[in-house]
Amino acid sequence: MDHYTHFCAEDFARDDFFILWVRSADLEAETFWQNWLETYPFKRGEVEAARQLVLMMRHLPEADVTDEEIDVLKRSVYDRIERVENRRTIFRGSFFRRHWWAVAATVAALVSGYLWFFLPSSEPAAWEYSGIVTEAAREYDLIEVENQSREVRLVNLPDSSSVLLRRGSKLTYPEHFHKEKREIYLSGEAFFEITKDPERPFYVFANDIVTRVVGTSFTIRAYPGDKQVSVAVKTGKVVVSSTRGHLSQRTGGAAPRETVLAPSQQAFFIGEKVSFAEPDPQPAARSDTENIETVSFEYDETPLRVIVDELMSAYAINIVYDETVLGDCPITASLGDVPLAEKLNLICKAVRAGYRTVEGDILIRGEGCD
Amino acid sequence: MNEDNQDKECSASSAGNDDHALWSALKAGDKHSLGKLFDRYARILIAYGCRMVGNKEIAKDAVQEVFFDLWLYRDNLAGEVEVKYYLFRCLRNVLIRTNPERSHAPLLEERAYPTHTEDSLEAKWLDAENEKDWNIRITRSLNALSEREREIISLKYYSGLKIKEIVSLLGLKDQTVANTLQNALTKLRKHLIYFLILFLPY
Repeated sequence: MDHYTHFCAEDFARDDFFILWVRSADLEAETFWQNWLETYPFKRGEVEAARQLVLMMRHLPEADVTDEEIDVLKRSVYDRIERVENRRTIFRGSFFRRHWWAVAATVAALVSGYLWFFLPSSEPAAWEYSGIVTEAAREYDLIEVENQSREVRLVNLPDSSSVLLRRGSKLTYPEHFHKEKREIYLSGEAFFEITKDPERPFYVFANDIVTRVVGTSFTIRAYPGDKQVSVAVKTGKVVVSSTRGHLSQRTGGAAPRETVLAPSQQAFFIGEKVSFAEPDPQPAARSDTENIETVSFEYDETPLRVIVDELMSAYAINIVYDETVLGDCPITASLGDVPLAEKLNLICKAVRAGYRTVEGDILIRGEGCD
Repeated sequence: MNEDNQDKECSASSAGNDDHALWSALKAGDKHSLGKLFDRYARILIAYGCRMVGNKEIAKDAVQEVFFDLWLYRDNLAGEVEVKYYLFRCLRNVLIRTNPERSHAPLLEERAYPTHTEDSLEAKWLDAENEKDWNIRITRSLNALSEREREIISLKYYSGLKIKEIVSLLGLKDQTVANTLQNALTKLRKHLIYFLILFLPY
């Protein structure tokens, strides 16, 4: 306390504790400096000059940065992060498209060499993820998402379909879907909610099988090395065929054998063989989050807060909203087989609110309901 | 009121503890902490970048780079750092790396300030309207300082860095920074005397 008695205005103005007193309502600083001035009243002049000096600094001519500029910049930081995180690998298909004949010739040469040296095995080679993706890269610019985290990871596809990727799983999809079909590639396990679009059927390639969808929700499990692939339907209908059959049909082959699955049905595929089962009530790989497969998303006069909680745990996302304004709004809706984006649209429409995505969170804003 | 809050956040130590908590959370992979640090420091960082290179857009790009890298390399961040100083240091490094020819300019040459320069139209108009306008007089006083004096004053009072942080940020000697600050304050005080009489707060 004593060393301040030798201070002149410039010394006070440089002192952090003094600056704190001038600039803020810090109680400790206020008490200290008021006492100090009472003890050393002859320093009042210096202290006042120092105070003016510090106050003056508020008017330092700094660059004008508006709140809006800050907002825009913040969004651009998050966008950039989002881009690198969601698109860890982008397969550029153009090389293969342009040089497919060269690649094909090389592959043909290698394969015939292989066949020449080693007797062809009677079992045809199984289809697996990386091979299918390499194949697809000839046609599309691809985005690959891998979920290495502990939680499920929500992936929004270009057509607003939702995919919940389980841990350790990979999903590849085109940057832009084809005009006539939507094709994606899975390794591991995922739950799908597909946007309805009868004009553009949706295909999921997973190891040896291809699942065709019109608009529905279902789970596929096809980890690398798994001989058996499983498909479980929650709502709607899917058609499953073998990858080999599906691809050969495209090049003029016969139509592959198809298996139709209805809601609550589950089928296991080993090569071309199919077996059916009731969906597993507690599958082992799903302990990482609340099971989206078991949530009905059927609501009858249900308060918004209950719905929001259910969505947050099912999709492992965060939803921010003013609970006091919107929490009690009752909603009656059947949201079982629509993707997350559509669920949010319908909910917002029901309570006259709007939503947007900020920093990966979903922000719902509305005036409330009567 | 707003300005008060901002000033408080910018002052030397008030945000320190909170910073460390945010920093640890960021290292652990919490994306919200990144946003909170951004809210807290983006403005003063842009202002500092702007002073360094004299161009707001370049400064904004560099600030984006700093926060993007912070997230991307969060696993490699040091545990115990003075967060604000660290951010200034990063920004300075980015600007020196990306604009080597511009980044030292402000310390060498006189540069016009973006607002209320003496010959700006706005300043002339205000001048004519009200001779005793507080802001104009202060701006004039600040214009009487050398570029380095303004730099250090700004880092101390606007950016809220500690003296030892300014020393290592600018790569100057302790004594140089202390003397420069002292001289600047003495000059400002002389200017102050003329209009203190008009604005006595007590």
